[in-house]
Amino acid sequence: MFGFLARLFYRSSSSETARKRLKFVLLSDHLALAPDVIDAMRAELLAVIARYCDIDPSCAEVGFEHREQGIEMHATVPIRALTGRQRPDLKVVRPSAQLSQAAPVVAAEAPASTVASELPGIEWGTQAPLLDEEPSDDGAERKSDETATGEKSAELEKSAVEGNAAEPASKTLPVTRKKHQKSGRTYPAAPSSTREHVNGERSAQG
Amino acid sequence: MQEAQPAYAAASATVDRPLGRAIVITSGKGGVGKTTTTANIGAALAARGASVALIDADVGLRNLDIVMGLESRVRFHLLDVLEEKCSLDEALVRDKRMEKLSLLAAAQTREKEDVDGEQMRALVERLRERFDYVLIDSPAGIEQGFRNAVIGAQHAIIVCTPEVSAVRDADRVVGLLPTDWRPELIINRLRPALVKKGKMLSIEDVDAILRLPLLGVIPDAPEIIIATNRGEPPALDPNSPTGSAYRTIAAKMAGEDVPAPTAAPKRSFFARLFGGL
Repeated sequence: MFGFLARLFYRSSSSETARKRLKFVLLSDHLALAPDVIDAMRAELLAVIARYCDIDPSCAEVGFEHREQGIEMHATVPIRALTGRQRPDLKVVRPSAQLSQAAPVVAAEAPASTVASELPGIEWGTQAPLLDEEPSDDGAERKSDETATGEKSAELEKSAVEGNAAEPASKTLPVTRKKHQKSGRTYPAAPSSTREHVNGERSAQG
Repeated sequence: MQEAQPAYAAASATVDRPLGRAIVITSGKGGVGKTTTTANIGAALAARGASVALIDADVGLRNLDIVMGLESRVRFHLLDVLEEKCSLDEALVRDKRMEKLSLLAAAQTREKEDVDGEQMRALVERLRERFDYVLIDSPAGIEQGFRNAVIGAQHAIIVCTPEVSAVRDADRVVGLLPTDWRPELIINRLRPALVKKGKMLSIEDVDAILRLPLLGVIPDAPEIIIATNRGEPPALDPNSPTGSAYRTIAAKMAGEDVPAPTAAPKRSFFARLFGGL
């Protein structure tokens, strides 16, 4: 539960520690939410995203900022790949070495723009299996992980250039700033229209 | 030197001079230097030629008189005035160094709950008719004593040390002040050498967290302890670096254009003096 905090404070100067602790405690004061509840909210948010996309929770940043009109939450979640699951209650499958072949189909069925609240049958936080919240504190291991992601990214982009509908890896998903698209479509009923959407986006880019 | 009047204090038809500005000095947390700040800003403003009344609102824990070195002159106190046991003039203690600086001491043997908020508001109003500045030294905490200190003021100065507890309490206190106020921040007891080593919150850190206009930064220095021992505000000592910081704050309050407070110029000075800290 305190993994998030532990990582924040890992190997920093004491003034840096003070600054981060203060920011967190004031956020907790202002939101009237206990610090571990904010941690839990973050974990659940990432868990929901992880049901549709392959993400590395240790690279995700969920932050809060004070704005003129109040507190704003923002999340930056690098997506390694889309998981290709057809039903939200299925177990999360990590991408295998054959990712680059699997990715195009996946992208069509679970676009990154899908917002959790549109999906029927999901109760926020109840069905979602919480991710392994404790991120590795081993810098070297994390670095190699990122390197691997980078290689996947290169592969995916290569396949994308060849005309596949793969989403580039490491695309960031700004969760809270995303507009809810009221498509009225039920998931996962319309893969064809989704495919069009993805292809349309791609051709617009090209 | 004629003191510049704050623009919003000018509307007063009943008296021949504009109403003064009542400012509460508060912090939430105790021991961050509210009383020392009140004494020194008051002395620095009076040294500039403004007429200043200091009110010790810390009923039961009177200290502003001893910090100012005026404890032997106090005959009547705040509650005596509120309860009309003496006149305001009898209770106001004139500073021995500066004619334009006066002190209204707190009652030592009474409780904060004995003060009536509306009477306090009326008293501050009366003082504003006679003084350019009315500085109210708030007690620590956010209870009755704090509310009595705030009730007659139009502006607040938040004193905060670069510590997590003080910053958190300062944030809390700001939330309790009237929403249309724009309180200003004084960062007290900054130790630039520690900030440089990453062992103390910096001005920028506190600034970013509290997001208040920064009125000034007071370096931590042993001379404050010595000055308090003697009852002589360092603001009146031309050779004192903390005194200089208080005078800069007074100049800014009087509407002078002063450079934004930074630790940089003081850092070199303090690095020389307290390099080992």
